[in-house]
Amino acid sequence: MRTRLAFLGTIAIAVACGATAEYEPLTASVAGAPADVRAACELAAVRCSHCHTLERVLDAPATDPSYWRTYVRRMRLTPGSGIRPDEEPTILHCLIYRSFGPEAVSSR
Amino acid sequence: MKTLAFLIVLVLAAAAYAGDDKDAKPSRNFAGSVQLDYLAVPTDRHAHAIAFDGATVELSMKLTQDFGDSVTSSVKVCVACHGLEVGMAYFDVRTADELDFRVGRFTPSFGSFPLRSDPANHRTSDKPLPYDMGRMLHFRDFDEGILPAPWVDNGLEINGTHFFGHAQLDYAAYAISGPKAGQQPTDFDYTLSRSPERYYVDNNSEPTVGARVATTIETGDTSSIELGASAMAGHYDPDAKLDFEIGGADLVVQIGHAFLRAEYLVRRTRIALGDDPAVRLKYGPNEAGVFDDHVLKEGFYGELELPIADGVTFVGRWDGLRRRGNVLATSELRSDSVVLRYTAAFAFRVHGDLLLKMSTELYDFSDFDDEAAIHLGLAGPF
Repeated sequence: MRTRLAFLGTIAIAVACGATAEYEPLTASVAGAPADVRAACELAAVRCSHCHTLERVLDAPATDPSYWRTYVRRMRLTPGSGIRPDEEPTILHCLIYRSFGPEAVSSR
Repeated sequence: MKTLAFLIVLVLAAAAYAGDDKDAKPSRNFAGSVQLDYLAVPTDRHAHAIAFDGATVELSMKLTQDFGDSVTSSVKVCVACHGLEVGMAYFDVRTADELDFRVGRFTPSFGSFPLRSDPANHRTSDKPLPYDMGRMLHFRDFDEGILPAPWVDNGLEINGTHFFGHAQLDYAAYAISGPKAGQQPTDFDYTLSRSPERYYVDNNSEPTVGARVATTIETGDTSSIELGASAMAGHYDPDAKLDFEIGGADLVVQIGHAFLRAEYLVRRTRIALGDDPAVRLKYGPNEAGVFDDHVLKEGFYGELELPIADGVTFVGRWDGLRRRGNVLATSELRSDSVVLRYTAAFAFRVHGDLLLKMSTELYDFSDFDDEAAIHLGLAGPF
């Protein structure tokens, strides 16, 4: 009984803390970017975290924008990804901006 | 044989169709992850008898090569408690979003957790009990989970996905080599799926088949619900006489960056009674004088994952296993054995992409002393 109470208590404290936590690293990494990029990254953070940690995205060795095109398409087709076809360009917008800057986005 | 020939022709036709992508530019991606975990069992001074305590390393390295939009090859090797293993070696031939042929060595679609089974893709040091692969306490007594993750096998899978507005429907159907065992088994022998005794070849000339269907429904801009059902069936002994069936249901609720996950798995396994079951097994026959030759193994987990501060994520998990049925006379289990586990885990992003994972687990065994376990791990992708 004591074990279960301690377990439930820990969860309750975590939920209380979690209710006020808004930080996530992908959007934070583009904090100074234009609003459309930040919004795109918020969407990317929600969709990507469905299957893996966002550190996977932050650490991805993208060498050119085509890397992200191939990657995001593959991820979209992963079961349960929740990435709709019309969301693919938005997520790409975030990832290409983050990796290669505004010039790469405008020439996309 | 006709079915196999038909499938081979189908895959070749799909490859020919998908390969007609003249503007395609091949791209290659290398990714990996490593986790060092230290497991301490403060309630047992000689925990090595019931667990792989101490330090363990899990390393995976994956190379993916895209040949245009339609054909992808993936190779992954893993090093963990069981040495070097090939966790992936397959081709995806995709003719449409709704039709992909996966051929080779892969993890067949079953349940929700296996998608996140890489240590860098989940925030606890170990896996939920239904998917345990030798990290739980008393894993030898329970013979690990119901379908240890990642389950890796040789075969063919046909899968696809389709979006209906704000809903996604996924399906998969596969034929694989299947779980294995030696003569007169009372459960799967997981070592036969990887040991030099058989390497990666089939043991009974008969495929195991399975399927999965799942739907993900967007309930808001940042929230969704995913529901899935999976099944797998076949024979696991060399004579192909002992059948097994596994069923599973899973639920994932996402609200922003918080996740609530739950899964239930059940496996019914026919066991070999042997020449003299009265001597071999712990429990005698029923009133009709017949030995029950089936074992039912159930497992579940419910898990809440919640970011609680800058770079800190909390995971609270409740999971369990129950095994019902006869056991070998030498087993310490009874005819109805249960383990429940309570886990409180924290993952801290310490530097760059490195995660420090800390968790406390309390085990409530029906047949053994209750135990506590502490994990301290470092994990990260590269």
